[in-house]
Amino acid sequence: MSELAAILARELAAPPAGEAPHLAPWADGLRERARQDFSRNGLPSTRVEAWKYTSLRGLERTIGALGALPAETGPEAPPPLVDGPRLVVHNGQLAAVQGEVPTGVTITDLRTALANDREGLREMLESLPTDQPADGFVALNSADLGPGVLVHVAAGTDAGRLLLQWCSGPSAAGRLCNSRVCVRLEPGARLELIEQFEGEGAAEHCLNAVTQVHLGEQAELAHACFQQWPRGSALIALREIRQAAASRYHYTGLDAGASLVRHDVRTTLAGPGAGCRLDVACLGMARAHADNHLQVTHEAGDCASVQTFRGVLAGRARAVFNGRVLVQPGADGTDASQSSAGLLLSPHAEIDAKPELEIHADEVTASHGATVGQLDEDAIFYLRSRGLDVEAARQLLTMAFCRPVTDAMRPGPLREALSARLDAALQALGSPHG
Amino acid sequence: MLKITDLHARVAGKEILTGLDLEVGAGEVHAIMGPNGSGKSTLANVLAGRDGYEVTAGEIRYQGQDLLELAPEERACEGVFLAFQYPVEIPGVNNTYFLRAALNAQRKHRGEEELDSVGFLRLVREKLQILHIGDELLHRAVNEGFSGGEKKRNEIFQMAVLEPQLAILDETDSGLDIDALKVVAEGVNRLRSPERAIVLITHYQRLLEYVKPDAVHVLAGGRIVASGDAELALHLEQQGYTWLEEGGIAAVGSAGAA
Amino acid sequence: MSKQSPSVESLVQRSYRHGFVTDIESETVPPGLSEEVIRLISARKNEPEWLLEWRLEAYRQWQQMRQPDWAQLEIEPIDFQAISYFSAPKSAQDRPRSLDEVDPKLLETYDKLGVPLHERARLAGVAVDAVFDSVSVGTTFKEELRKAGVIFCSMSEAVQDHPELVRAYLGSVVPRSDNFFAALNSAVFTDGSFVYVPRGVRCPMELSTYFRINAAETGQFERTLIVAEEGSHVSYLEGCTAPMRDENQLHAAVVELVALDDAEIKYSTVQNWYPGDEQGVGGIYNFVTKRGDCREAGARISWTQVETGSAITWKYPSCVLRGDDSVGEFYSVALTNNRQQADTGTKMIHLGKNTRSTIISKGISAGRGQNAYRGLVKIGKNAHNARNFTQCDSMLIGKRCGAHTFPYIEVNNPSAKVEHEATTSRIGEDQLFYCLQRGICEEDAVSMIVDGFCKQVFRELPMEFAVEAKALLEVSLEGAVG
Repeated sequence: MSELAAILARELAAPPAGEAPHLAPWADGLRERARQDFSRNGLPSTRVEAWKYTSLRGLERTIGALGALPAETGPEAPPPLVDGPRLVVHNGQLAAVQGEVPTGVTITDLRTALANDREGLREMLESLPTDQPADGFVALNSADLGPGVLVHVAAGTDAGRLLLQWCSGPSAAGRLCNSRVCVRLEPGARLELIEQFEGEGAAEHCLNAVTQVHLGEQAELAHACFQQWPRGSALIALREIRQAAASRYHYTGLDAGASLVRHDVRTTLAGPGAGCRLDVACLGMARAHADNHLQVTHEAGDCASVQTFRGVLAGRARAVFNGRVLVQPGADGTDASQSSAGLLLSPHAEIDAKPELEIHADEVTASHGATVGQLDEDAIFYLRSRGLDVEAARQLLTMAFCRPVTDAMRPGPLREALSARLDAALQALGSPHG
Repeated sequence: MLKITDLHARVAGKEILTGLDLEVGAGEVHAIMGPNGSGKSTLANVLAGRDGYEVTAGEIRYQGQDLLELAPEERACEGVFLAFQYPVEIPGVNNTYFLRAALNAQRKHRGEEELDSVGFLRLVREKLQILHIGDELLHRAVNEGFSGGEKKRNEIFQMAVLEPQLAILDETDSGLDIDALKVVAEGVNRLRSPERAIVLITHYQRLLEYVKPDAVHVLAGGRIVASGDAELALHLEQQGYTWLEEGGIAAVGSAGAA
Repeated sequence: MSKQSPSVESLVQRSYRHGFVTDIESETVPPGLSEEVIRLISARKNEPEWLLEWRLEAYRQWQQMRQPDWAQLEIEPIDFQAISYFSAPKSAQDRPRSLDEVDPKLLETYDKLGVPLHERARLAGVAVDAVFDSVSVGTTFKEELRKAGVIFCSMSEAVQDHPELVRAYLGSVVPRSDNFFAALNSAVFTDGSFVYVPRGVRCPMELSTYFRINAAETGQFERTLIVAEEGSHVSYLEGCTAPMRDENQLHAAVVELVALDDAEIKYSTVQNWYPGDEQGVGGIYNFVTKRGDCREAGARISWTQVETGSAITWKYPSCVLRGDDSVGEFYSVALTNNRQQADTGTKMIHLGKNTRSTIISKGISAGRGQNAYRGLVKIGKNAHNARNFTQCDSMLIGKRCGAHTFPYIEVNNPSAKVEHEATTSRIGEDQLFYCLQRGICEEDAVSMIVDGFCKQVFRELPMEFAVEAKALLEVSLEGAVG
């Protein structure tokens, strides 16, 4: 076990005095089991297949303690990406609920929800395994269960938009903060959830966030994430989604910051006729490392899934894309597609892709395409022949390269805001071309 | 306007143009005809400055400047427009956005003010109307999923918006039905003016029924082997290109890439 | 969509065509593996001291290794002490001088296999080296090849006659400790083929080896080494069969290819080892390490494989594209029916500039078969302008089979262009219906569609092998629809 994992395990075993949370007994049991799993497995090493391309050595240098910190009043949350009610999470703790939360939507601090044993919470939390070597961060998160938030949307409610802003204060420096977000949409409910990771805060810190989503029948969640944290910070984010029949889940991820990013988005299409779309654009510069794992499990028949990944890498950045489609026996009528493309702008950048299909049913249409390459020279010439200079032509084509990720979103202010951020971030990759 | 002297050019190590001379004056329309492999497209690509087309000898003067010294975008900004034989598909780049970026780059180069989106849209609609092109192509990505005819119309549309000084149409007429051909002809005729020059590179005489050229040149084996007026095109149409060989003029077909 | 007619299900079973045992006297070393056994093998083959040492070192390394478990394969535990590591037809002690002296029963075996050495060799102009259990029994056309300067002989002969070549290249592509099964092979390999094509020579005929496992409780550990000198060209084919046995038999071969400046090696395999019965009892474990080294500029190595046999096929014929402008190709058809499992694919390691690779993989899963493509395309830091194109298609026939694709793409150079495409789908209902409507029976329609699905790969096989591969596919597929 690594030194960092040993420190974290020790801290988990001896929580600071006076902070013993009063949780439902099953929650204490869950924390304890997860703590034991973490003590046994520690943090994943590159020998674990799912972490093959991601070393935690950098993290070990910057992080030295667990961040069981109170929410700080420190730096203000960044300007919101879009209008609407928002939750501010500081150092992993729910700090504020601003704006008017629509009727039918309940927002509860997770610790309170655990103490009151909110309906459905146990089933959701206990469904997440923590015992495998690849699950180190999940085990760590579950062992430290408490900070975070529960969002509940009542059946048939169109809840509109909810913004979740992740911030860190100066005291988070050198620490790893855990946080859990639970989102439950009852049948027919709809929500647009936007996670924003932006602003200065503590550079050298790590957020280990787990988001769990349960979608009832015909529920719809549009989930967007924009991340542009300062260099030096690390984000480990797992999003685990379970979908009932005819529900829809659409994830749009845009990563343009932090030094170490690990994203796992795993959806399970558990009821017939459900559909999901996972679209991610990943921009890396300097020595940034971003490891993206998208996984769709088709459990029920007649479900459709789409995965899109675009990686643009400059400097010495490295991006990993692992897309996995798993079709379980009996999931007939599955339609799954996956597309990934990487663009390397510098001789020192690297991209690793592993698009997997694992199919155990027969009436299935599944496909994937993966490419790594450069901008099309013919297209560059075409643009130049119309008067654009080389730099402008490259810029335009690079933006077009990532366009499929934002184009799949529903038209509206969110899509516009994200497209603008994407273009700005691409411009910020500078002109390392040529 | 354009003066090409003793132009030699190579593609992938193979000499395609072997001493080409051509002079096109302002206000003129010249047609360049020739069999496959004679070097027609090579000429078009050399004029536009495409990579991989290596000029080994000769010179090209355009409005008094050395054209070969200029980057492709500088040529475009100086008013050189190439309608591509195979227009490139650019997924993810909106056609309108693309054209506005191009127009504003050229206007900026000329020291003119950039057009805002309202002004630009007005201009675009006007051009579409003149050319009888529907506006659905405005909303699509550049050439993506366009049919052959749609791509060629899009080239002519771009030409109409950018209003070049020297337009080179590389086999823009090939493979078109009669309606699309009329769009091309209309675009060229609208562009005709005493200040502008147009070079039509074509395999067939068909387009010349709608656009009357001031001069017709026959390109074979990488050189101009015959020049004349519109009559020459008719003659070619009737006789085919074989008469060139029979007439003992330079061997045809030795050049592979055209 | 139309459901499959139940009558089709009943078509499934047909027995393994090559399932006969040849009754000839053979000399088999008692089961078990130890330094003693290795010394015995080496002594029996009259090997030089350095080779014995080489084997023993491999054995010591193997003892430190564990059988890998990362593939998604269900493998019965292998008792390495229960395997006999050497089995030779008894007549081997005074080896036949020519084919006429070969045990007639052995020749009969090859006839049954459809490899009549004389006929086949004469008609097809193919030089055949036949490996029976572990020992090479005769090479045709030796004389003719010698005239061209090509050495084509068994590995045992090569060790005796061309020790300097063997010593220079053995283990230079697949090192002794490369992996668990390669280490085992290095310790105990008994025979195999050796090919050396001198500078500038275009090998005048296709070279071919037939492998057959006959004796019970034996493993087959052949070792093949092909060296193509500057500007040479060689095409090599191997075919494999084994009799029906209840227990699983291990086949752990190593194939090494070395292509120097502008040389070209084309290596084709038609593998039809015994696949086990419908319940998954018996069958060959085909765990093979195959790797080619495009060592110098402009070298070209092409792997073509048609894998229809074996209980488990686990191999990744690979290319190391070291030389600038070198080319690697991999064309594969893998079919799994009943309880067969296949985990196969390739690695294309691009190290040199302007290196190119192509991967075409066609997987067909029927019955309860599990078929996985696993591959790596790696573009190294200095591999400027490297190109790869990969296409992996899987076809599913039946409800209980599985088809999986696990490609790894690692790109370290911005000038690289890598394209990977994969599709998985059920056998086309509308194609099937179209054939039926035209009066073609279901079984023929399926094999016709599957044949079409595999065309891209079959095209790469030499003519006579392509016909055989197609026939094998038909046999292996019989009744698979349902």
